[in-house]
Amino acid sequence: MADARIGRRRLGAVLALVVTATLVVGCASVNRLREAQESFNQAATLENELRFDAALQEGSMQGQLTQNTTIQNGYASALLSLDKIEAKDVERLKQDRLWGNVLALKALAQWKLGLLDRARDTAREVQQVGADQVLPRDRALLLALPGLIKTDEAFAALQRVPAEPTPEQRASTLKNVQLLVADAADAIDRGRGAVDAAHPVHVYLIQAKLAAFRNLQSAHERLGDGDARTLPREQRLEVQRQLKELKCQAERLSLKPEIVNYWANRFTLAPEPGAC
Amino acid sequence: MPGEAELIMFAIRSAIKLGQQSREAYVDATRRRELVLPLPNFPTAITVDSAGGYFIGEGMRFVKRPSRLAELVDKWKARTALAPAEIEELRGFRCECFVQDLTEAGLPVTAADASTFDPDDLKALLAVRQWGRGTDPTPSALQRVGGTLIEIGVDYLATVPGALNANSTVGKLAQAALTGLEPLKFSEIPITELPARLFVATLETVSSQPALLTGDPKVQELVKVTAKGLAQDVGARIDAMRARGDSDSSREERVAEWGELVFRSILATGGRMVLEDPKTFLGIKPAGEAALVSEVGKGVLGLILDEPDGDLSRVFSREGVDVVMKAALTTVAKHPEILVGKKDQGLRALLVSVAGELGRYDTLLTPAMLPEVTRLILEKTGENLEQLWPEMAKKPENHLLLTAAQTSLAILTKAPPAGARWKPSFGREDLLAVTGTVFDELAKNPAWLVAAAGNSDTSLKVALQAALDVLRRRGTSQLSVGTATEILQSSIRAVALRSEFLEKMPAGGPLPGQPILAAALDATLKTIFEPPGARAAWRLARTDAVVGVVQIGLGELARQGASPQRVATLDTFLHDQAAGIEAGKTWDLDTFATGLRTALGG
Repeated sequence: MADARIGRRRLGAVLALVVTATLVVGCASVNRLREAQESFNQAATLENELRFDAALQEGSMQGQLTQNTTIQNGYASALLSLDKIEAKDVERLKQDRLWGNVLALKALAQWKLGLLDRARDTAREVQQVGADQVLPRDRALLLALPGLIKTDEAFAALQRVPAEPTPEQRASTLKNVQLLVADAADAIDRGRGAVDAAHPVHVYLIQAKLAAFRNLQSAHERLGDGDARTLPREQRLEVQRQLKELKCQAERLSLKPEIVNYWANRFTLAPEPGAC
Repeated sequence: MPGEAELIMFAIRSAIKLGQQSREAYVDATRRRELVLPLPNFPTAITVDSAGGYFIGEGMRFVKRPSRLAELVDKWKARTALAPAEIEELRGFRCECFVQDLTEAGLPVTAADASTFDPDDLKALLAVRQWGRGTDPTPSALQRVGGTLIEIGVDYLATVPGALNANSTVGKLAQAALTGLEPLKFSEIPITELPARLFVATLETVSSQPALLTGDPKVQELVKVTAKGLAQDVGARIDAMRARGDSDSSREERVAEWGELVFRSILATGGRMVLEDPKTFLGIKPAGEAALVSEVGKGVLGLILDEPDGDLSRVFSREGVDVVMKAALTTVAKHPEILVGKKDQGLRALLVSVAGELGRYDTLLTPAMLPEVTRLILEKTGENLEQLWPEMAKKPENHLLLTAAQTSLAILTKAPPAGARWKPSFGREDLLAVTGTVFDELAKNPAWLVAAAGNSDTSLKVALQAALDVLRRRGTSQLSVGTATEILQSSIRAVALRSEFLEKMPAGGPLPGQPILAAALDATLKTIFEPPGARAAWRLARTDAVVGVVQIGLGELARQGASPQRVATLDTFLHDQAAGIEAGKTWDLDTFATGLRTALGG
């Protein structure tokens, strides 16, 4: 009996040792990626909570998002973990078909840290790796990323408008925002077109597109003249279509319907009528 | 049985296979891991511009002319400054009209500015998986590891005589173990040898337990629910360790080891009990809650690993786990309500408290004591639940036996005071004997423990401390620890019978201010260890005589009533007895008992 016990203990010890050794040898770069995922997710969760927190006024909320050190540190930490991946590990990550994950996450972290040129370069780098490396969600995000960046640029342009702008300032900023949002919508549509209609990334990309249009709406209301102080009819219809799509996706994925209400309220526009 | 070399070779082969598949599963999980995605920036506030823009766009149909609304909209459109009241008015119109739009669109009617989201709901909205539901092309972690487990099982059975037949009892049990492991988040645990451990444990344990090989489907259910419960618990523990940042591979490995040990213990020790009472142990009453047997397993694992200042795995052996497991299952069989309701209360809370309060008394000098004390607590609890654990639901840590054990062990493990004549320490068996007696008396009369005696100290504390003080003061090298233990037990029984033993001796007599118990013991031990001569010493210092004299003395005082006067009578009687022995009179315990009863007036 005692021998059997000793045998079992040794068996367990050997089992653990070999498994541990196998994992330690092969997992360092994967662990870097997981660390980065964890940091990014934590930062993004906090950012989303702050953004959707109705108790915060817009001015202070936006300030909090860009100045919140916890959020920024989270994104920076994610980028740092990815930067620590050594050149010799890249091949292993490619063999594991994780290189696309690395590039997508890196581009997103760079975007959130305001390293926009680097984010675009990283997104472009994806075109040089094999198609098998970039998986559906990441492919959609990398294609849409230029649109996310342009949406931020449109928002920044609106933030720069002085309290009492001249007619020229109003006209030029409105034009600028219109171009940025048009480009953003195109890029986001490209991202959406890269995945099948049932992919959950649509919920995010629809909201990203609504965010772009919300900037355009705000630009019209603040900077337009006369009848142009509202979102043009064509764009209103597009927003309503997006709201309906969001509603249908939410129903399909059993998500809370309040999200549709949230966006409808931002625009003061109801979703396009009709069944999903 | 196979030789050790064969077993080690088997382990290496298994580990390599499992390690490779575990890594693949880990990579898969990383590839498909959800990303929480932040949105780009956009204006979130609903302003007066939102209202104005609405009424010259989609909400134009609501603007009748002439009207107050039209007046406000025109002012806004012409960039004429609006007064704060006008701004609020226009915003109010927006809400009012937009509600109609929403109603027509079939959306919940709230057009207020405020929007609140539960953080979890928000995360669900913006956390995106790599693939859509049902389109993930990679095999699930269970498929990857499960396949390897089956290979390991086959390899094991090739190593251990007795081939595995899928339709055999062992085969079915192996399948039950795999089914139970299904909910485990292999994807989140890089070191996934736990499934293999539980799998091999199933095969080994059932092979050595004929009772489990009857082909009874309940055995499969037992294996399944236990494997599932423990796998989830171990996974959650590892997750929590990682979240706290105090995790490393050896710590995780250790948690898995104990998970396996508890699993083996449930199968081996509890298997028969569970099979005799499947309704209690395997029945799942409230929806979504685990079977009781699995909860008992988690509770015992918590006892070993949840001590706040460091886990107690050092004090538990396989045998210790078995002891506690059996007692826990027995108690739960008698009182399933211990585990019904919130699972973090009841048994689990009690075991955590036991670990926290009593773990420190399990030392090199008193090894493996904690499992036995835990067993005693659980067994006695089952006998008298309501009295001993009156606040089980609200304050599970308030358990009379736990309090009593803590009090007893604290007193008995304290180093002897300076100047003590008798200095030996109590060993494990002695501590358990005294604690067992305390528990027995408490089970008969729970009130006496909590009753205050004199100052704020409890009766138990006063009695035990007083008795030990006398032993330290009067004992000599002739007093063995075993005899001292029996004296302490007699003291506890006497006090449980007669609370007067705790009343104080009056001033002007022996030991003023001390409990009567101390005075009675002092008189007895003084006579025994400081006799008038060698004959009396020879006769009275024998172990049986010491224990007998103390038991009879305290017993008679308990029977007739303990008072300072009777203690004085006892003292005189003992003195006379010793003098008589020294003078050559015959003496035995029976005549001593008869004489004492008469002397005390009985």
